[in-house]
Amino acid sequence: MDAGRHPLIEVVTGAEVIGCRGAAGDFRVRIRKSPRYVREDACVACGQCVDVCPQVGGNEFDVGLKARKAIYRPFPQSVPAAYVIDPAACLNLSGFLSDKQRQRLERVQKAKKRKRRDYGAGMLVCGHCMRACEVGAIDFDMRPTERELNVGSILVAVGFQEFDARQLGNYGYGRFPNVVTSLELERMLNASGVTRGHVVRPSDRRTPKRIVFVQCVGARGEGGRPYCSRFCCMNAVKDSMLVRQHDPEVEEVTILYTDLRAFGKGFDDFVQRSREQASAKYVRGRPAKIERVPEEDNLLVFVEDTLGHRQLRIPADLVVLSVAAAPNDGAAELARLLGIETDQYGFIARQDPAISAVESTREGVFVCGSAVGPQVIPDCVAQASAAAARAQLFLTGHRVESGSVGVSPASAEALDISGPPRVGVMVCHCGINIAGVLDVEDLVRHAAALPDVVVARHHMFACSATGQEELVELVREHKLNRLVIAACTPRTHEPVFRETCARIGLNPYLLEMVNIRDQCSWVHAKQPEAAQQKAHTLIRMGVARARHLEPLQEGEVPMTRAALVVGGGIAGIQAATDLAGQGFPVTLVEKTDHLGGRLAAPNLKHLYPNLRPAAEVLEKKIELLQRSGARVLLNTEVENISGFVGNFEVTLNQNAKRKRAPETLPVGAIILAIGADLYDPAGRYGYGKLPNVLTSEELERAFCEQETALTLEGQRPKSAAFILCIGSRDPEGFTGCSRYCCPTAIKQATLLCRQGIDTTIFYRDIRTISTGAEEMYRAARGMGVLFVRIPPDEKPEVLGRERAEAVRCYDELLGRRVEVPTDLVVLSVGMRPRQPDTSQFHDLLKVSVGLDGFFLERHPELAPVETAVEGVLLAGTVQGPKDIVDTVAQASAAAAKASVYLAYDTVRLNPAVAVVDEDRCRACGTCVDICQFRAPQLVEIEPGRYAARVNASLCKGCGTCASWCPSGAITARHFTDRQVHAMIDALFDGPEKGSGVFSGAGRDMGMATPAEKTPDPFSGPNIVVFACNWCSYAGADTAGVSRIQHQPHFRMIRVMCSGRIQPGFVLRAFEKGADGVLVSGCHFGDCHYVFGNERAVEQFEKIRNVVRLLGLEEGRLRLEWISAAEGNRFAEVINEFTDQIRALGPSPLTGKPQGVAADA
Amino acid sequence: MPDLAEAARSARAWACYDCGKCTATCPVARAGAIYSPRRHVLAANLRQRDELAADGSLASCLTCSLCDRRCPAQVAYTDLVRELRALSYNAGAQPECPHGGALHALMRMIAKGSTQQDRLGWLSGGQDAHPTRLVTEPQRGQVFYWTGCTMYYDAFFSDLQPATLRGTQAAVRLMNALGITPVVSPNERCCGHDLLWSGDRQSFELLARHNVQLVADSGAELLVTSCAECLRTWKLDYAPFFGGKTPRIVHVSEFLAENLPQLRLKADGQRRITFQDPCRLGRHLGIYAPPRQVLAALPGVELAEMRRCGPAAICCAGGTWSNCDRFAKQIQVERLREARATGATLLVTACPKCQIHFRCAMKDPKLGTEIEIEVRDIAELVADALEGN
Repeated sequence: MDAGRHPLIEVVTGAEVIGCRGAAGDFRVRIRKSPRYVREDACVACGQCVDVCPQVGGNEFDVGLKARKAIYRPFPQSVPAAYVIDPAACLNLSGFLSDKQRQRLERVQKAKKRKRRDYGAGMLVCGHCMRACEVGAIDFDMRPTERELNVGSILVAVGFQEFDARQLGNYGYGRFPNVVTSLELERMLNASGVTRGHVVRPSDRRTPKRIVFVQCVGARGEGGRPYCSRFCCMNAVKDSMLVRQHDPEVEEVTILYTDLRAFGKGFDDFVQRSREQASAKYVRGRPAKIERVPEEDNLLVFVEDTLGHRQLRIPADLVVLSVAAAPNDGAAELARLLGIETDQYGFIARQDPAISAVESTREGVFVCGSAVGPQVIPDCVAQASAAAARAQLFLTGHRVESGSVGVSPASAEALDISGPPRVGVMVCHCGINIAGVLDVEDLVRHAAALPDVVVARHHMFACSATGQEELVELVREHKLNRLVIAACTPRTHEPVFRETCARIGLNPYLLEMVNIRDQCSWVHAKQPEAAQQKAHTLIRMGVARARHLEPLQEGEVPMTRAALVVGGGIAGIQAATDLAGQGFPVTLVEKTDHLGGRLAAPNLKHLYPNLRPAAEVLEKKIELLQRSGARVLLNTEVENISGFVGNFEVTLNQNAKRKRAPETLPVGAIILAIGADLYDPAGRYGYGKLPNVLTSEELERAFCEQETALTLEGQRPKSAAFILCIGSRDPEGFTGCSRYCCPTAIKQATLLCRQGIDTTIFYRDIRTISTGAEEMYRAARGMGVLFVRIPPDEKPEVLGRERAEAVRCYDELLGRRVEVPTDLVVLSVGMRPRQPDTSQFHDLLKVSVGLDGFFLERHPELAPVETAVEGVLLAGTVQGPKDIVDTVAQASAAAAKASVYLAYDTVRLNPAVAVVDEDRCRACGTCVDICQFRAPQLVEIEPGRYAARVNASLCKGCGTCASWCPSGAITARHFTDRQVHAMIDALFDGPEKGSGVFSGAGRDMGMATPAEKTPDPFSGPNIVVFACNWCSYAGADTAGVSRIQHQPHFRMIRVMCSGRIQPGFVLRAFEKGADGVLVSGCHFGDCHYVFGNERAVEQFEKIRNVVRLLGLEEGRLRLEWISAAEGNRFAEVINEFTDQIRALGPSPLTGKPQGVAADA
Repeated sequence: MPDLAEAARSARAWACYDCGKCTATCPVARAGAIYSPRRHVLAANLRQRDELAADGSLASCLTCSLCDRRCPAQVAYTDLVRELRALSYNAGAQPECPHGGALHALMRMIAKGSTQQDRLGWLSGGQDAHPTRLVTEPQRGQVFYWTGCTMYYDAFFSDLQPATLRGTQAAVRLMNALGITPVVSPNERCCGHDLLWSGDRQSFELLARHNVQLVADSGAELLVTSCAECLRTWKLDYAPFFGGKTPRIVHVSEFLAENLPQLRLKADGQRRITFQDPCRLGRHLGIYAPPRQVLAALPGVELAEMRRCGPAAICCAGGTWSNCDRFAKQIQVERLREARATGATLLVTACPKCQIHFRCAMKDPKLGTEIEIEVRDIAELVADALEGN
C-alpha cells in the first residue's frame, strides 16, 4: 500500500518482461502489460460489477478453495484497487460460447473493426458488468500494450511458488480432500479468505478435531529438493497457535518435524509458547504415508516417533502438508531475458552465496527475497532494502535532491475544520481479526450514538485502498473535522491513516485510532462479551479524545547530510561502502587498528557454503570501501553523541597514542555495526582446564595458522567431537539460536573429516538455513561425519582428567547413553551482545535493548534495521546473531534506510511537542530543571519578564514537563490534559454505567464454579491503565500479536511517556470510579526519553501518599515497568492486578456518597 | 440553582454604575491580565451567557474581595463570580485547573466520604519540630480543633517542601498548654471551600452536611481552625446547614488572642516580622486585630506592616487552586517584595494556602534570593515562644 501510494513509484500490474538490452546504469527493459479490461484510473472498486457477473472462475489467490467471479479483485488490499477481468472466464472473451453468443461476439468484433467505438453493452454477449458500472470503467477493447523502460538497475523479486505435493503420492494430496497444503490452510486462517478465518475439512466443512502438520514436504531430500525452505517450521508453529485460537474445538495439533528450525529472534520462545498455550505436540519423524480410513472418515498418518522410539498411527481429521518453496515457473525465462544465472534448482543465483546478499551474476541486476531461495519475512525485508541500496549506486544523478519532491503527498488544500467537532467513526473488521470476535455492527451503532458523532461506518479493511477511499468520501460528504478509526494499533497503522487525511487536506492530527484489535479481539477472544464491552468503552474514549484534538503543523530543521558508521567489521564496511557510493560523506570508525572484525585473519579461514577464503573476500570488500570514498578512522572510539536525527554531534577520540584533541563530527544518521561477542564457555565442558577443548573460534584460528593438516600440541588428532548450542538456546543465558553455529560446525567438521579425522557432532536441531547449508549438511553426513542428537535438558559430559578423552551423553535418537572417544572437543559457541559497547551506545543513543540483550529493531518484520530512535540504524549482529550473508544484507539495508534520511535537506519535526502558554508561565524553571534534552529554557520576553520556551527541535514530545508545570502553562500537544481527561471521563460515563458494567462478562471467564450460579456482580473491576507509547503500550501490542489471552477489565490510555502521567490523571480516574489504576512505562534505563520514567516514580510517590491519606487501599495503585518485548509480562501483570483488585472489591468511591450526607 | 438573573440580583449587580473602579482596583487586572470584573457584572446584568463563557476569565478572579470593598455601588462581585462559576460548572464547563485538576479530584473523592482517611497521622508525625506528645480526643469534647487539609498539601506539594502541618501541630500544642484536649476527628472531611468557589455546589453540600453533623455530634461549643478558608466556610457558607445548637467558630488567632493571659511566652531573641492578612480572614470576615494582638504579645517580636495591609492587603493570589498564571505570580512576587521591604526576616500568615503560594513563587531561578523570605503560620510562632519548650 505504501508503494502503491508513493509518488515516485509506478506500479505496473499484469505485466511481464519480454526483453532487456543495455548495461548497468542504462538498461532498456521491454515489458508487456496484459489487458485488465477495466480502466485503473476510472474504477472505484465499488464491486457492483461483481454482483452482476454471471461467470465463475478459479481463484488462484484463495488456492481454489473459494470461487470468484470472472470480474474480481485479487484480494482486499490489492494495489491498484481496480477490478480485473479474467479472460479465461469472461463470456465476452472466452471461447466457450454457444453459436448464438458467438454470432453476437462477431458482430461486436465487426463493429470494432469499423472503428465504431460506440457499441453498447447490449451488443456484447454478456454486458452485465458494463451496465452495472456507473463510472464506465469496463473496456473490452483493451489490448496488450508494450513499452520500454529506461532504468539504471533492475531488482528481481519474483518470489517462489509452492511445491506441488501431488508429486509425493504417499501423502495423499490430491487424492484425499482432507490433506491440504500449508498455503491452503493459510487462506482458511485468513480473515477475508475462504472460511473467514476458520479451519474446516474440505470434505464436509466441519471443524477438524485433530490436525497433523507434516513438515519438509518436498524439501530436505524429498521431491528432488535437497534444500530447506526455512519458513515452514515457524509457519506451522504459528498456524498451530492460530488454529487453536480461532477454533477452540480443535483438540489436538501435532507437528511432525525433523529439525525444528526456529532460528530467528524470539522464535524458540514462540515454539515454547505454542507448546504451552496451544498445547501443540511435536513429534520428530517423517511420515511414510497417509491413509484414509473410510469407516471413520478420517486419516491415519504412519510415522515413527524417533524420540519416543515408537511406531505411531496418528489419527487426523485434517493433515496439513508444509510444502516446500519451489522456483517460479517463469524464473528461468526471466533470468534468460535479463542475462542472469539460476542455480541448480532454478532459483535466481547470487553472485557468490557466501558473501553476496543481493547481487545477481550480472552487474546492475539485483535480487531479493525468495527469488534466490526460500526466506523468512524479516530477511526478505532486510534484503529488499539492501537491494534498494545497491540499486541506487546505478542511479546517481537521479536521486531526489529536495524535500519538496519527497514522499509527502501533494498536499491538498486544507479543509475547513472550524465549528464544533463533527466526528466520523470507522470500525474496521480487519477481516475476521476483529469481526470474528466483536460484533462490528453493534460497535457502529454504539459509536453513532456518541456525542458529536455524525457518521459511523464499518469496513472489511479500513486500511485497504477501498477503505481509505470510503474514509475520504465520509470526510467530504459529512464535512468531518475529526476522524476515529477503531481498528488496530496506532503504532503501525496511524501513519497510513494520517497520510490519507493529509492527502485530502484534513490535518493528520485530527485522527484518533482505537485499538480494538490488539486490545480486544486478539487478547480477549475467549470472552467475546467482555471484549465487546471493552470495545464500546475504548471507542467512547477515542471519540471523547477526538473531540478535543487540535490540528498541528509540522516544522522542519536542516539535515546534516553525512553519516557515521560505528564498527569496522564486515557489516560496517558494507554499510559505509554502500552509503559512500551514493555520494554521501561517510565516516567509519573502528576502535582496533584494522578493519574486518571477525573476518580478519587469523579469525576465519573459509566461508561456508563454498569455502571461499575469508581473506580474499575481505580484501575485496575493503578495496571497494576504499574506492567508495568513505573516510575510515582506525584506533578511534566514539566518546559522546548528542543531538537527534539530522543533527547528531559525535565526539570521536583517536586513541591516546596520537594525543590529538577529540574530533567533533556532525552527522545526520548513525549506523551501529559494533558486532557481537562470542560466548565464553570458561569452566564448562572442561574448557580452560583440558588443553584439547577448544571453541569453534579457536579451531578456526588454528585452520588459519596451519596451512595443511590440523596439529594440536604437536600431534594430529584422530578424532574430534563438536558440541553445539554452547551458550545458545540456553535458559540461563541467551535463549535464542545463534544461527551461524550449525553451518560453521558442519563446515569445520567437513574439513576435519577430509583430513581423515573421525568427527562427531552433538546437536539439538540442525539448523542449516542459509543458502547451500543444507546441501553442505547432507554432504557432511555423506562423507561420514556422525551426528548425535542430544536432549535440551541434559548437557553432554566431557570425560578425561588431563585432557579430554571422550564425550558422553544421551543419544535421543538411539534412546541410550553413548560415549564417543575423542582427541579434540570443539565447543560451538553462540553469540551474545558485545559489551561494554552495547551498554555504552544504549546510554548514548537510548536505543532500546531487547530481552536477549541485543539492540531492538523497531519491528521484526516491517522495520528490521531501524530502531525506535529516528536516524539510528542497526547493521549485522548488533541486532542479533546472524551469519555473514545475512549480516551483509542487513548492512546494505541499513545503508538504504540511512540514505532515506540523507536524501533530504531537512528533517521534519514532530509537531506533537510541548508548548508553553507564556501568559500562564510562572517562570519557576521546573521544566528547565527536569528536561534532559534541554528543550525548555527561560527566555526574557520583555525586560525583566521571563517565560519558558520550548525548542521544538530539541523537544522529544514526552510531555513530562507538562505534568510537572505547576500552573498548567505547558501543554503536551496531542496528549493534552483536556484530551486525557476526556478519555477518563468517557471511560466511566458510558451508557452501561450503573448497570454492573461487566457483570455479564465475568461468567465466561472460567471463574465461577458450577456451584455459584449467580454471577458475581463484581466480576469485572474497572481498571485504568496508563501506558507509555514505547514500552508498555507496545508490550500490550506484543501480547496482542502473540494472542496472549488475559483478563479484559482494564482500559488503556496511551501517553508518549510515563513521565506524562501526572497525579491529576490518576486521581481523576479514581474520582470517576476506577477500582484500580496501573501506571506503566519502560524499565529503568530503557526510557525512550531517558529520564521520563524516573520522573514518573516521583509523581507516583506523591500520588501514593495522597491516596494513602485519602484512605484508598494501596493495592489499588500500582506501578509496573513493562517493555515492548514483554507481551507475556504485560498479560501477567494485568491478570495479577485484576485478581488483586477483584480481591479488594469495588472501590469505596464507586458507591453512593457515604455518611450523613447520604441520608440528606 | 439560581439562574443568571437571580445571581445578578443577589449580588446587587444591578446597582453597578459601570464606573470601572473594580477593574482598576483588581490585582489581577493591575498585574496586566486582560481581565475586567466590570464586564462580568455587565454581562450578567444583560444576561449574556456567551460573553461570560467566552474568554474563560471567570477562573481568573482571586475572589479576594478587594473590589467589593472599593465598589461605590456595593456590588458583591465576589459573590457574583461564585454564582457565575456554579452556573458555568452546572452547564458542564469544567475549568482547566492547575496541577491537572488533581486537588479538585481529591476533594471530590473526600466528599464521597466512602474511605477512611488517615487524618490523625500527623499527631505523631515526624514533621513536628517539638516532639512533645499532642493530646487530642477523637469524638467528644468542649473544643473542636478543625485541622483542614494541611496533611494533603504537604504530601502533594512535596517538591516545594512546605510544612503547613507544623502550624496545625502548633495549634494543638498550644491548646494542650492551655489545658484543653481538643477534639480532632478522624472523620473530618475537607470543608469544601475550593469546590464551592469553583462551582461544584453538589460536592460542597455533601461535605457541609457531613461536617456540620460531625461537629454537632461532638458536643463541642467552640470550633477553632487554623485555616482562613475553613473559617470563612464554617462561619458563612455552612450557616444554611446548621440546625439546633451552633458552636462558636473562631480562627486560631482569635482563640490565642483571647487566651493570651494564660500563655506564658518568652523571647527568643529579637526579630522583625511582617504579617500577611489572608483575604478570607481579613476582607471576608473582617478579622484584622486578633492576629496583630497575638504578634504584639510575643516577646522580642517586632511587627512591621507591609505597605498594603489590613483591609487593603493584597492576597496570595492562589485561592481555590483554580487560578495560577504569570499574573498570579507577579502579584505574589510584588507581595514578597513588599514583605522584604519591611526589613522583616519572617512572613507570618494565618492561612496554609498563603504559605504554599508564597513558597511556590519563591522558586524562581531569575529572581533568585531577591524575594526569599521565611514563611510561617502564626500558631507556630506562638508555640515556639511557649515557656518550657
